Amino acid sequence: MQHYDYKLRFIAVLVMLVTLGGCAATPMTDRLIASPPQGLPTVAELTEVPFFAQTQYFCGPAALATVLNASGLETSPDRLADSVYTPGRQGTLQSEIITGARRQGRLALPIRDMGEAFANVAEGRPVLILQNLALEIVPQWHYAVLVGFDLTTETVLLRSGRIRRQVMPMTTFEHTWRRAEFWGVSVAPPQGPVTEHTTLTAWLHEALGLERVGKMDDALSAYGTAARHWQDAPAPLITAANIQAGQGRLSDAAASLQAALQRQPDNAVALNNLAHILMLQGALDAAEKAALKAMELGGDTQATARETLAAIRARQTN
Amino acid sequence: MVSNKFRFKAVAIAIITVFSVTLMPIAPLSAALVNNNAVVEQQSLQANRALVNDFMSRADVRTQFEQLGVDADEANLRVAALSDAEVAKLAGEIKSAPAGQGAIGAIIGAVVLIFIVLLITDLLGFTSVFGWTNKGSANPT
Repeated sequence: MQHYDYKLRFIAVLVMLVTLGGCAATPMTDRLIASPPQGLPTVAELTEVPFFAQTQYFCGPAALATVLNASGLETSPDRLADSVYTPGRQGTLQSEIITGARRQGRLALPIRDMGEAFANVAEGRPVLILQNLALEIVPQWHYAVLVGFDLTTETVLLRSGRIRRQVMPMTTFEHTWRRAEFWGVSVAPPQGPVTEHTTLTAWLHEALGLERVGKMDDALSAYGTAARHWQDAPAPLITAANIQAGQGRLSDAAASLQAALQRQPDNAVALNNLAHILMLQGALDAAEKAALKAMELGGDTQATARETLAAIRARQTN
Repeated sequence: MVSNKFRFKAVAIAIITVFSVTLMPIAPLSAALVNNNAVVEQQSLQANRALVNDFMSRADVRTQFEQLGVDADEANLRVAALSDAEVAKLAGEIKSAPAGQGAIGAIIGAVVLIFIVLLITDLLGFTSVFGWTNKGSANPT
């Protein structure tokens, strides 16, 4: 018992130090001012981003309409309210912002850091953020859109509430954003472009989100964008093939999987899925060859590859 | 009895039919096709492992490990033993650590991270790096 007490106490002290340190300080602001990342301009402002003055409690739809319009989609807070506003809570949940963007055929990519947010703005993409304007014990949640920053005056620019161009000190921005756990999204159209800090994982995850809301063509477009942007990665081509197969476009699906295998010849998932598609096309010998190779590679896909092989052999004997 | 058994079979068939119909849209072609949920999940796991491995092979990180008296290869073995969920957590920590911006912050970040790795393994009982976490404990000398 004593043994454990010590470990627990140690962790408690560690946690306390970290959180206390985090309370007063604004490490993200300090870092951005002291050593701005290479390539980040000192000043940026997206003047063309539209503004929708929020009506009571409607900051969620207003902020979402702002970033959606900036991504090239014409919409308004009123049109979005039905899908993203929860009357019982007099507001919009974070998950509703994400699903709201997906339902309009847009990817809602997570932004969790000020440097990343600034980089997005510098690349022309505003960032929707959640702020807690009050204190942790009496939160006042608010959605706003980051449209600019100035490292010399140490300020940020927001479309917020009823203010078209709100100037806020970077430190205040960091405090209010930190109290909302740095929750933010950058809304991207499926055809791109992909901003610099976006990871393949985040992009694919959001493309999958488009599939979940039934936007298959947008998802396919997003996978295609990923395949062009991350030219070594087989995953975007494998996912694209699954949609093509679902749409009955078997030869397109086979071509995507062949392209994935050019990127990574020993990709067991691509081999297994290609075997399956070839089987559906009636090319049983080629299908068998691919399935055997997928099985030999082992790993997580082995059991599935065995099923695929069994299905192919069943057709061969018929 | 016979009619009960028959009824049971009929219900079972009905249930199976309903389930296979409702499951249809999720797997339109066949279970033998690895679906996109799995592909994206797998890609994410690989990316996390790659990120952690890159971090562990950084010269400054290896030095930090050696200063703590841990052989860098041994540290790699410990990381390799972490579960997917733990690796995902660690990858998150690395991503939010100030990489390459402000040397002091980076080093402190790295040290804290290493503490976390070793604390996880220590607390799980795989390792016993921090003798001082056990001071005055179960093994009095």
